[in-house]
Amino acid sequence: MKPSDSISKMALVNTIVAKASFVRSNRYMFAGLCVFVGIVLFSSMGTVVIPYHPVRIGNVPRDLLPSYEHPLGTDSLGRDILAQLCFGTLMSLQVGFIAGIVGFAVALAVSFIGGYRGGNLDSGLTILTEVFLTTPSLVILILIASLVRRIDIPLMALIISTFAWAWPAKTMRAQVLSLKERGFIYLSKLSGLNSVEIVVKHMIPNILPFLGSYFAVVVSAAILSAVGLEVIGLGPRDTTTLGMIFYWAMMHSAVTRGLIWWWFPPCVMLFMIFLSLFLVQKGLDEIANPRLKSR
Amino acid sequence: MGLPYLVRRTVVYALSLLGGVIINFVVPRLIPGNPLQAKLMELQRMGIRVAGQDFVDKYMRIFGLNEPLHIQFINYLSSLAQGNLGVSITRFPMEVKELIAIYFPWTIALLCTAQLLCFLIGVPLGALVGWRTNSKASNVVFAFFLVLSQMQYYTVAMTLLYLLAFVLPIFPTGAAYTYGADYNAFQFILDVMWHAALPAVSIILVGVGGWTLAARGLMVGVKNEDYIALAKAKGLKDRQIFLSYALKNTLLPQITDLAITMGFVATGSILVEVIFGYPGMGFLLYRSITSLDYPLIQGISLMYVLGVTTAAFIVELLYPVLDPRVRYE
Repeated sequence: MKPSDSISKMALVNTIVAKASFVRSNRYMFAGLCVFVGIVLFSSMGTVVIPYHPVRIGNVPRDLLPSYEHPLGTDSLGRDILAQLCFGTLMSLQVGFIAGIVGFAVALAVSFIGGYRGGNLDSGLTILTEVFLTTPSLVILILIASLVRRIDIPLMALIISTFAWAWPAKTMRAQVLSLKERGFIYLSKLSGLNSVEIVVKHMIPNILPFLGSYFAVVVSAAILSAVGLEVIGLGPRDTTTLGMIFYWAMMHSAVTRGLIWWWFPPCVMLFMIFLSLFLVQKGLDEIANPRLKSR
Repeated sequence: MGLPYLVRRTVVYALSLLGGVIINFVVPRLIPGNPLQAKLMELQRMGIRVAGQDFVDKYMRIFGLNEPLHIQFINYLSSLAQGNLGVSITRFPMEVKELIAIYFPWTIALLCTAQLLCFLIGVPLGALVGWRTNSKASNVVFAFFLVLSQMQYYTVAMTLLYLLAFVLPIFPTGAAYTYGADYNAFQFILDVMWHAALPAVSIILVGVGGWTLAARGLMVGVKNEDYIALAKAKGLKDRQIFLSYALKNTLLPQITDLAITMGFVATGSILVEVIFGYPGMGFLLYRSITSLDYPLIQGISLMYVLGVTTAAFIVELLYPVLDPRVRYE
């Protein structure tokens, strides 16, 4: 083991320990994580405990008011709404995370290759990123999704990830540009590390909180696009997600029929998901850049 | 970046447009076989009444579907340049561009009003909240808008529709004006505003949240700038410093965000229009998706791409004029 290796490992361990203790003292981060874990626990418990099928049409009586057997009532297609809510939340999170991971990986590659290498490749990638940023993504997603006959959760996530990478790629590139001029990067180049080692061992650990915060943004943007597609009727019809609940509720004019227990719980759930991801992102931003803590 | 600002913006604009056009051209052709026959058969299987052979002929003639691909693409571009977007399937004799012409003004009026109000309310409010980070009232306002900014247009729209059109029937549940009513011009404008109120408010409520947060963040930075310290040292009044030094400098950087959020607001409002049955482009798009009217779907998507990228391009060109610190490098 080269001495530089052990030094960088120690530094890494030190920063991780320092940041970990910071997480507890960061109220945004803490609150966000609590809400998020709460949502996941609630919906996982729900899918296990609730005896009704969340998707099959007509497995319970239609249009029931909330009662002891059906805490959120049933919809006009004969499905328990709480069962749909719990299952749909998990499915929506799944879309968000698959699209988020794919989009984030692409963004990571684009920003590090472009930002680190520079030159024409970087100019090309930057322009490509900006093109994806200026194009109204939901419209293109609608166009693609409307021509795919049968859509399922992974396919949906993949379609969404075609646009999910642009924003993080742009912001991460700026981070890479400022990072690569720092002294310790020059030092590690001098000590004979190759580009991949520098990026993986020295650059990424240094902007880890930033990366975490971008990931949270990408996931919530992906969930947002997914729900957008689903509400308009381009979602997976043989399963249920939060957006599909809205879709069915709108198809059956739930709002103007006063069936508030049908459309309002998914609104609340969606809000909680976005809020928790936003808080995590804000907390990570503060950890990455303590000056953001406005007093 | 090597390229000058103007050139880069133009290249990005041109490529976005080209990308939109290419996707519009390629995606329908990815369906194996004759796309038109496939679509017609699909529609017939679903029991939807479709237009007959004259439609097929017209479609084939317009798109020249028997030509090789590169010729088709050139033909497609030239017909686009002439403003030809094809013919609607479900409302057959109508051309896509005629339909868009009917629905487009409603969307543009709704969007421009809502976006402008968002900016004019959100930015000064956020700047004020950022200016007074220590006061309790400003923290309450901040928390309120933080919550609002995490809501979605459609959830707010559904809630407003439920509360103000169903529980308390103050506002209409749909449409853009009262059909068949005999109004004079003034009454008609009032009627239109009454119908547009809820869709606009749902866009504004969410939008203002985002603007407030962004402006607050900028203001927190501006407050620590030297020129603010100098203004204080000169003995200027707090109010004067805020209005003529701090506010200006939080307003300007946000103008580029006006361009970036344009696309977001435009596509977000699709769902608002659907929920309120507001006869704009979003509503037309929804209708065309549910009835599988592909030429219409493509025409509308192209219009959205064109509108959003052009609006962003104009704002980006204007920005250096407004903010002398940015140059067309």
